[in-house]
Amino acid sequence: MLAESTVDETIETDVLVIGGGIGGIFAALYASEGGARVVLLEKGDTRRSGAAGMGISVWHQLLAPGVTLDDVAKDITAIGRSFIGTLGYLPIMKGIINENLIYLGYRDNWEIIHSLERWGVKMKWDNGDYAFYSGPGRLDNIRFHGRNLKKDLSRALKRSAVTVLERTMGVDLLTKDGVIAGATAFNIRTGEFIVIKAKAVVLATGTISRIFNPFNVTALGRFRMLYTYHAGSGDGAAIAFRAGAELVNYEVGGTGAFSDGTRTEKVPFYLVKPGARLYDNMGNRLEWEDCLGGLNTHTQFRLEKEGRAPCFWDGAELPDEWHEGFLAEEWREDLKLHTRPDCQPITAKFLRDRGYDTRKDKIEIVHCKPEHNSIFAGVLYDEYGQTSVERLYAVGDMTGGSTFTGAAQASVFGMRAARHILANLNKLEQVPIHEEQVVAQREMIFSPGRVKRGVEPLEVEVKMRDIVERYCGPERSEGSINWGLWRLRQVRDRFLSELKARDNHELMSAQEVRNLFLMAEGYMVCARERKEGGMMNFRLDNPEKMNVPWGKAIIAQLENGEIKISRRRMPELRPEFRGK
Amino acid sequence: MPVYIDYRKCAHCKICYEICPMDVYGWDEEKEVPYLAHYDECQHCGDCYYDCPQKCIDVTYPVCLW
Repeated sequence: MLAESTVDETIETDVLVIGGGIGGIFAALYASEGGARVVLLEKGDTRRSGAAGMGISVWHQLLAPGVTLDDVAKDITAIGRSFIGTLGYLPIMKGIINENLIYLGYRDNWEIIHSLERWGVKMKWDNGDYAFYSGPGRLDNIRFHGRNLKKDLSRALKRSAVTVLERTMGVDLLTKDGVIAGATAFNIRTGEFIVIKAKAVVLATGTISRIFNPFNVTALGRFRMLYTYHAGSGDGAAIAFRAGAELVNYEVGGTGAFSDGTRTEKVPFYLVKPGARLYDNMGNRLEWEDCLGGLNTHTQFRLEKEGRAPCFWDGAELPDEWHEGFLAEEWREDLKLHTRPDCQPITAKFLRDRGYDTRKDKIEIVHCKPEHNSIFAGVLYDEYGQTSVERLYAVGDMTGGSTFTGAAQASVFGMRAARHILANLNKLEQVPIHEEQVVAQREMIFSPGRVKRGVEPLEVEVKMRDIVERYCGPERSEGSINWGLWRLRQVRDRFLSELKARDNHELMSAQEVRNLFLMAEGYMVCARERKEGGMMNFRLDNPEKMNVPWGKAIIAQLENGEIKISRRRMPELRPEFRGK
Repeated sequence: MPVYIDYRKCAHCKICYEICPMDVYGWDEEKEVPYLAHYDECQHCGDCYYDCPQKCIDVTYPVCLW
């Protein structure tokens, strides 16, 4: 039953945060502690929403005492790896990322650890100390029991002065003469349409996980056990893009290997580090490559064409303690530093339900599908989390232009954005709300409830994913992308106005589909512009440009409904940050 | 169905309904128990399975993952 509220609620605040994951919660708490009024929207529930919802077990980008960023980069290089997230990255990436953003993610991270502890999260290990990894290539992260990190942060949020609206989706910005006045929101439980007046908006809506069909799609087109989460519909990215914010590196997706079945990165992470083995389908040993899962997507495609796929991970050589830990759903002391159960323990349950014994069963490898979880790609941000639109900030996995993502980067930039807003708050006047915009956005949200015949949002979404995959998958060409864009727009123009919703949840789904279409289009336009190949981008029509340095980042911006492209060299590390 | 709920054990705490990241559950006000309002949205994260204090809910292993 649709519950269309006849009463709009209006809330006035200083800072509106859209998204209640790590980035959003940090932005909200810091802004609130600094004296600002804050409203946070979360379309799920802050206790289990976002990429950290199922638990995380490692906090990255944390330098051990006495260790500098240069040490980490040198150490990584010495063991023959180039490491995404430090300055020893692949040459192809030079010029497409803002190195200063990585540096700041490291530099400001200890403060984050102390804030987490202040808010009741236990960051030290059971022995009372910070559990840095020891050994080469492991100087910059700690293990911790983060199974209920989101619950802890949610508790801190609810104890603070932040107004938290759970089950409430951010719809779109309200502006007056181009200046942000606030946003509209929709409560999927009550059906309320809400207007929030704000002086600054922080977007923190995370990964986009639904532009591609993953492996193991159900008959209904939903995911099962996606590494990130299924809620990633790019709401914040679409809000930013519609407002005219610049996107960066949107053609880049992740690369590497994932496990068939459980579809989680926890398998490759936990197998690669202790040294499991890689095999092709005839039992020939393969070399580990330097990427997630140890097998580059490009290599996987080549092996496929040679008839040697699928490939497998084999953990038979690993110690028993490793297997015990990997298949455990709850952490126990005898597992020592094995933190596997703290992170997505459901995968352990599923492996066991399926009868997998990692001691004797190989795990099949599938290639990583491009996901916009900000390995490079996302809304462009600066050192204070600002997008290219005034008063609009973006933090976390939805941002791009730095290599690192994840909890550490999101929290650091949530903090930095909050502080920047606080420093400027007294200069920001509340801009009046444009009533026509409110009416238009409300109409957009509720119209699927009035469609008589129409189509289900999921059907249209799956069609979009199919088009993107077919014409702009990892292997693509200008010709295939041109055709794909035409088809995407054709489907969009035909069906978005026919989306039908049977309840409030589906009103949200319809809005998610609108957002996804916009970001899918952005992805394809940027992919067409990127003539060079590398990472997850294989331009079959330009084989001679494979792994040529890209030099400049592709920037996309909406201007009068058209996606405009430019290129920009991203800033190198500033001299004052070097050698620290 | 993605989950199996043992209603005999349900303590009516509403935690599953409140925390599900994908809004799979509805709440039956009369019987004070959860029901699957949007079962196709389930991403099998196991949050309801782990967070239910009574262990009423079992997440079933979907065929597509075999």
